[in-house]
Amino acid sequence: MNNQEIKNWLVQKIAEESDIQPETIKTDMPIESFNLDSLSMITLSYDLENALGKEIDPTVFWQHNTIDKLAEAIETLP
Amino acid sequence: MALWNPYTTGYFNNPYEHLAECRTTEPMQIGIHKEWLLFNYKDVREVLRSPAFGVSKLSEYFAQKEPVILEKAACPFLAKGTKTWIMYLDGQDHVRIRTLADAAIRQFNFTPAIERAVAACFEKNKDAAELDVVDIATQIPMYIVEELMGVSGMCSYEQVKRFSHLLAVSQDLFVTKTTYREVNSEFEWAFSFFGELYRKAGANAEPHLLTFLQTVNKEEGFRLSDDEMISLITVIFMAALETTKDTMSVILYEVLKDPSLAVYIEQANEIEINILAEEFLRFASPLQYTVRVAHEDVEINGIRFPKGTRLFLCLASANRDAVVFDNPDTIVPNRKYNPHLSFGSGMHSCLGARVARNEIRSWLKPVTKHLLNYRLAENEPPNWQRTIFMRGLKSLKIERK
Repeated sequence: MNNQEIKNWLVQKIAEESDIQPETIKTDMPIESFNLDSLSMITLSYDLENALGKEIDPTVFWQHNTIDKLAEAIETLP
Repeated sequence: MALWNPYTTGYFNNPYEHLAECRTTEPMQIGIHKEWLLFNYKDVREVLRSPAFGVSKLSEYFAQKEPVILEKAACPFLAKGTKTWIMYLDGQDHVRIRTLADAAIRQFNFTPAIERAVAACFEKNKDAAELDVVDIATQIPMYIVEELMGVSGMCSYEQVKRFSHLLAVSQDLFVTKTTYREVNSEFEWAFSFFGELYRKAGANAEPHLLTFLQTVNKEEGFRLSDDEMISLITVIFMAALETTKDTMSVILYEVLKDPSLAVYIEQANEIEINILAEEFLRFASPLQYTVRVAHEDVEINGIRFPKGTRLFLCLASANRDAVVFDNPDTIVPNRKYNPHLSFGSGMHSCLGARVARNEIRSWLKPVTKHLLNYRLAENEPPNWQRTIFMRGLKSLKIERK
């Protein structure tokens, strides 16, 4: 996945997890504003790991506070 | 300062360097997961013993989360399965169920069961040219558990191993919904499997732990329902297997690495073995963290924690605190002062501590003697579990000398 695809994936999944419309999610908004609990964040990080086939720490959502920053960090992972 | 992050490179192989950095630079800190952690021995012990703190409520958490964790068709077993898990209960419920479990465990004579388990394990593996230390560390407690439950060949080794391991994993820090779903279906199996054993226990000619649990519950007026009793049996089962496996595999790894330890064990008298067992418990810290929740506003070292704050207490770090332990990163077989926190402290201190000590004291000499014929397999580095709360090996290959 390229940067844009990762962002789209994140928007879609975050919308599902926090039960909000994907259109209301802006990629520069703080992730904490989506009210994801730790169970959701950990589950998303594992799902992302499976989707991308590369190792992603379950703490990734705490380390990067917007979808933009998160996508950039994930894209540059080996 | 070092920010606590268990995904720091190398953490799962050796967490102690990272923990030492956290302890020496910022011993009370908010970690990568945005929650508080305590690393100093003094602070950890104080919170463990403070009436201002309680445990986290796992079963309540599951009851609240089951709708989002489980698929619609699934029967919910998470809250039910963990309902009487003693380490997640406070107050009256805690005292009541702990008293019941303790009374039953005390009626069981562990020493011969442990000796038979060690002998059975050796018999099974006597001709093996290659062995996995983790298999030995799993088989021995498994034989003990079979005696506890009054059955032999209770069910497939793999099934029991998976069940027990998943229960342990489900209490780790970063758990996904997928894992909880697997735990749920394992609980479904366990309720039918242990349910049958429990209901049959009374009819068994040779009394065992399930019989004792049943009698104490009935005759001393505890009045736990069958489901609550099965939940209690699952936690005793998991605790008996997982902690023993983890502690034993870590100890044996140290013994295999350092031949002088094997010599010491061979020559040690009973008292020396007891002292060494405590040192191994400190060094291995099988339960590396435990969580406490503030029941009221509390201040520690000038930091105020409002009611409801969760604190992660790093037992593994406390056990390596140089303020309390000389040469904390070394196994000192005859360590004189060793108030380790591997069994916790206070109200919730480990219910199985007596049994665990008994076990180590009983197997240390015979197992070490058996392993003298083996050495660590070349080119097969130890494979550590990627779990944060419980530390142990996933596999450790050895070969005959």
